[in-house]
Amino acid sequence: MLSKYHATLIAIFYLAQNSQNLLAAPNTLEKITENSIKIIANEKLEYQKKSQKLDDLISYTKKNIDAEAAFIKRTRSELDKYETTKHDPLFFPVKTTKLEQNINLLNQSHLIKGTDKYSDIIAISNRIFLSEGNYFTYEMEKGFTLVSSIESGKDIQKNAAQFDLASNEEQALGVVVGSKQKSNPDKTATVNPTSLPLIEFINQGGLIGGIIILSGLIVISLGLLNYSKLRKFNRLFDNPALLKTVIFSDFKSIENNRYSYEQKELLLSKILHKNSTKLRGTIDYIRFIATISPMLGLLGTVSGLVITFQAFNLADNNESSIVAAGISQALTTTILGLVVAVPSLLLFTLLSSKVKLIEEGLEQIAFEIILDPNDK
Amino acid sequence: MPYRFKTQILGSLKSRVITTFTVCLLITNSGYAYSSESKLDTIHKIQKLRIKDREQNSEQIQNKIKVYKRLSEDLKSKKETAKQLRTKKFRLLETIIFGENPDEITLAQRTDILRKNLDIIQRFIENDYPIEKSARLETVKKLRRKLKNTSLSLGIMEDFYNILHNEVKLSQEDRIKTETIVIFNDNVEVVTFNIGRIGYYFINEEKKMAGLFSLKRSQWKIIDFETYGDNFKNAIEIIENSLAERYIILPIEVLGKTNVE
Repeated sequence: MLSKYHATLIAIFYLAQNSQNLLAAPNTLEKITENSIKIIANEKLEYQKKSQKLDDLISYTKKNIDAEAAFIKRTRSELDKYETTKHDPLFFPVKTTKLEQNINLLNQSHLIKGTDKYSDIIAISNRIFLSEGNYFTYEMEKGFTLVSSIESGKDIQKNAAQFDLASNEEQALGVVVGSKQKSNPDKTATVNPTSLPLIEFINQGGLIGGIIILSGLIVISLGLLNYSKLRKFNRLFDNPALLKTVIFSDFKSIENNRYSYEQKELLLSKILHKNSTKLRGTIDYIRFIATISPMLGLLGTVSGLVITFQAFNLADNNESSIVAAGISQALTTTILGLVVAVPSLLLFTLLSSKVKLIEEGLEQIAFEIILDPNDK
Repeated sequence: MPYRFKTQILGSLKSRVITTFTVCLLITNSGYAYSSESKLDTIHKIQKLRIKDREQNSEQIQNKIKVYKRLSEDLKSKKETAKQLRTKKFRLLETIIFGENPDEITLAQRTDILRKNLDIIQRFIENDYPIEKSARLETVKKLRRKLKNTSLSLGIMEDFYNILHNEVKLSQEDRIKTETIVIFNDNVEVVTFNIGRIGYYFINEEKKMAGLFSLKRSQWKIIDFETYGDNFKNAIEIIENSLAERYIILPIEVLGKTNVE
């Protein structure tokens, strides 16, 4: 049997052994923690590297995409240029042309032999073309065009006739210099509003402009009509007896009857209302026209602009003068609308205030009639 | 001290020391056990964090890969479009330069045609009005050098087209610039202008002397300022401000006479 002493020693030994293990355990755990932190740090670094690599790839691809997009855009515009440019058959295709002969014509004077269509033409470079005292221009699409719109037509003819291809010295010759697009006299006329005669200006308004002008005429006639009517009414105020006879005749006919005060008041208000309607007459039509004419003008402008832009689109060129002329024409209806609306509104205000004055005068007389002791 | 008493004291001391020692060991063990448990917790937390981080990172990487793949697809399609356009441009230029059936001519023949035509253009520029002459000549020479080293490519065809097209276009354009020219062996700064290839003129800065370039003599020639001075000034104003076209009398030198059918 083991003694107490031995048992205790074994217990101590066992505990000491465990303590050693337990002492070792924290060290291992610390190492694990340290390792874990290291691994996390490494992983993070690795992720950052991967992420950076991917970012670089993405940015590189984006740059490439941008470069390709720019190339596509540039190539498309170049293709468009090649497709739309009319190539002179004297130079393109080079396989079938005698380039040496043709290119030298660019700085030489030469004679283009006439055909059934036109006579012999003296060409100086590929810019001036003279034939039988006439001056021509040449364009790929149109061929030879006689220059007729340029000033000094006589000088051109004189020059063309005198020009000597055999001369060794320089000779005076008329040359057309400047921009072709700016020389069209029709276009310059349309964009110069000060030179536009009134009838032409009205004509530019078209159908809607016509309606606005007709409305203006209606306003004038209505104004005159109402003004004369109001003047007649005004004259009646000078003679109150006559006024009472004309305006309040209905009341006079029942005057002798024994009507109550309320019945008389009702009757007078009816008479006043009847006269008020008569006085107002067609004045409201003037207000209607004053309201609607700017709107009609705007309608004309908008429809004009639509037509202008459609025409500009179909014209397939970038001449801003076409748009400017179109807009100027379209705005004519707005101007016409305002020209009619403003005086109409003034006329309406004037006539309305006159009607109001007459109405107040009539009300005054009606009040006097009711209060008149002779009528009771 | 009697032996029995001594044994009793020592025995009691022994058991107390052992008990104390045992208790101490137990306490120390529990302390260590507690501390180990808290460290395990930390490890657990770190591991959890690590897993979470990895998931997040992996998701972000996946997203970036997706973006990259999408961009790559886009780039691929753009490259394809660019390739098609390049082919279209090549065919178009082939037709413009070599005619409707360019396949009938071999590559060597095409290169030869371009070389010969470049020689013609170079000769023409050398004898032409000196309007930006050095720049024009340099472009031709550069293309000739290119054509020596490489076979016919899109770039070469394009360059050739531009050279010839610009030479033809120059005849239709009016240009103005300030440059130094040689008159009577003197370098003079003047304003020069050309009306296409009809004439190349100058007027000096004081506006008292004017002249034209004579192709026959390959030199500048003074003209009567009284007769043409105002016309020169008008022409310069029209070109400079892109004004509407006008008819102006200018001195013109006739060069050659060729009949064209």
